[in-house]
Amino acid sequence: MSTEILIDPITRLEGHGKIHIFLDETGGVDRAFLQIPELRGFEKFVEGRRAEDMPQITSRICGVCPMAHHMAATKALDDLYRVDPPSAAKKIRELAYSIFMVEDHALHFFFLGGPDFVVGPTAAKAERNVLGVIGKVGLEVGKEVIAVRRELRELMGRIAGRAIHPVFGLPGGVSHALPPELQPELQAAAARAVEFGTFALGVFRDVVLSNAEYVELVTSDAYTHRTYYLGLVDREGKVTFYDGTLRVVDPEGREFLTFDPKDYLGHIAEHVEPWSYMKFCFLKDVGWRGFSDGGESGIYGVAPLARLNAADGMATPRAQEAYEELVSTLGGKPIHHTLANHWARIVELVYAAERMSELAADPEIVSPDVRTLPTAVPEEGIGVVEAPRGTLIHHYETDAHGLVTKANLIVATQNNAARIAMSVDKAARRLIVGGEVDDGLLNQVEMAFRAYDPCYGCATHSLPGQMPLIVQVHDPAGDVVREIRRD
Amino acid sequence: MALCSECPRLGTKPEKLLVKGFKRPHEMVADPELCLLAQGLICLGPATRAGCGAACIGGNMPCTGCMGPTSRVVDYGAKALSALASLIDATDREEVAALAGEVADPVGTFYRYSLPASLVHHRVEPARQAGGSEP
Repeated sequence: MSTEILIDPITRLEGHGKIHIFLDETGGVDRAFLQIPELRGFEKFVEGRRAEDMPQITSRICGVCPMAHHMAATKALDDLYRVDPPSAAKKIRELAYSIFMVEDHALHFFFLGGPDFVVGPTAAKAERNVLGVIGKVGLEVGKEVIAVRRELRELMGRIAGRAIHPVFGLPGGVSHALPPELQPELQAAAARAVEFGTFALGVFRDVVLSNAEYVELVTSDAYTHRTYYLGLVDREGKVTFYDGTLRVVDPEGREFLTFDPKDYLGHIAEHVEPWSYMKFCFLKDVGWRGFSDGGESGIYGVAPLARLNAADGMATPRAQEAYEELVSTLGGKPIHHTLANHWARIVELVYAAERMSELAADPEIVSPDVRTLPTAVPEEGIGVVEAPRGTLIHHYETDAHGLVTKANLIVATQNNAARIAMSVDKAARRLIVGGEVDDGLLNQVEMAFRAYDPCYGCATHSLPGQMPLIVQVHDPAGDVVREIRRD
Repeated sequence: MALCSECPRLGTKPEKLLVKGFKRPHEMVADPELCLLAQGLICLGPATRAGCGAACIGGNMPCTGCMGPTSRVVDYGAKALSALASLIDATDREEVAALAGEVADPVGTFYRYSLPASLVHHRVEPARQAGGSEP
């Protein structure tokens, strides 16, 4: 039985997942569980640490998206010390963040999610990885993908100190100004990133949209849930990653709520299940109604598709064009097809590249004025960003010396957790009939969570499709009839 | 080899480095060329193994010791603390205590990555038998 305990135990997760599928008497699926069996405990061990160390400590949560944690923490420090960074510092932060979004989304499309489509959902598992992708799209394209990501990560390192686990965020700004000679390099890289985004869109069109079978898969009921969606929007209601207002749309696509990220506790609550360390977020204003979709259930989605659903469009021209194509092809908003996340991710990649380009061209980006020194006595601070995998919130309380007394982190995948659990359960129910399972079918069950780019796979440093995973199939008596391990 | 040996700011580290007080990174704007220790920031370069190319310092932020101790150091935090303490420019006890008191969260600062390997919480084991390997 579920309980209504909302906070304890704390879960930060990456690297491990477990799907439990229970069959009924007919060999159909009674229920499938995606379980997260690990406990990280960051919120506990940051207590007593210096607040200014939070951007560096919390970025260790993840080796793939450290920039997201670094930035949410840095913004929480601005709020903690009630200090407004100079305009140039905000632009430098957003520039670094845009670069990060491009390379991180590219990582998922080409390395993690892409193999399912480019190589094929039921292809031999030894082929469903980036090498299989390169085999299909050609060595030159593969080299280009790797070269673009490498260039972007090197630039991130030069701006942020390091690409993995950045150091440049401080309350009131960033730790150093950008050298003027870096600007032309940034602009050139941004131009290449925009081209790369257009190229990625082309790959998606060629591989997925021109294949009727894939389009049917993407729009099939097995991968569809009608839920609420949450995302940051800018003043014009467009998708934004670095700063904005949180907007929720209902399953009909109507604006349901718009709130300041600082009020998140008034709108987001966490539900605990006995079978996972994951905490499942839901909308307080709607309530927890179990793992069900529709307007009565407070379950919501975040990440690329949710952001596109929550916003009115994209702030840059090429991304807006791609967005319009996506929306019209899939029959208008809101789009409830989980697998459409892959497409939405590329639309966002294009936006991030265009935003990078705008900021790289801004003369202010090399301004020496990058810090406002804080003077206030710290007490409490909240920071939010859109991580590649969805809305990310850091919330700290400190003593008067700026030592953390309490921390609460709402990580992107937690927002998605309930929807992911439903997606895995539904895909398993639709796909497994008569107790017949094979590797291809089970991969299609996995595709239900992979589309979200969940963070438990983030820091495993393994090849795509190689996230540690154990699938157990039980008969009605509860005995394990089949176990497939991928450790 | 300590990190200072490969730090691009090594040339600005005074021969006899003494500090009158410690600052936290958010309390000052650090000069991007000068030795961070000399500017009063707690940079753990002197106690930390080289090899990262002074990455954080390249980002104008002090070393936090993630590469761990040099080969001759047994307890990283104690070494880091000792390295910092030797820089304190004070002679009378009260002045020293006041300066040391400026270090917020010393355990989290000096043992951030190394507390589990620290000697601090280890028990003393009985002497090994003759013929056994010495630790």
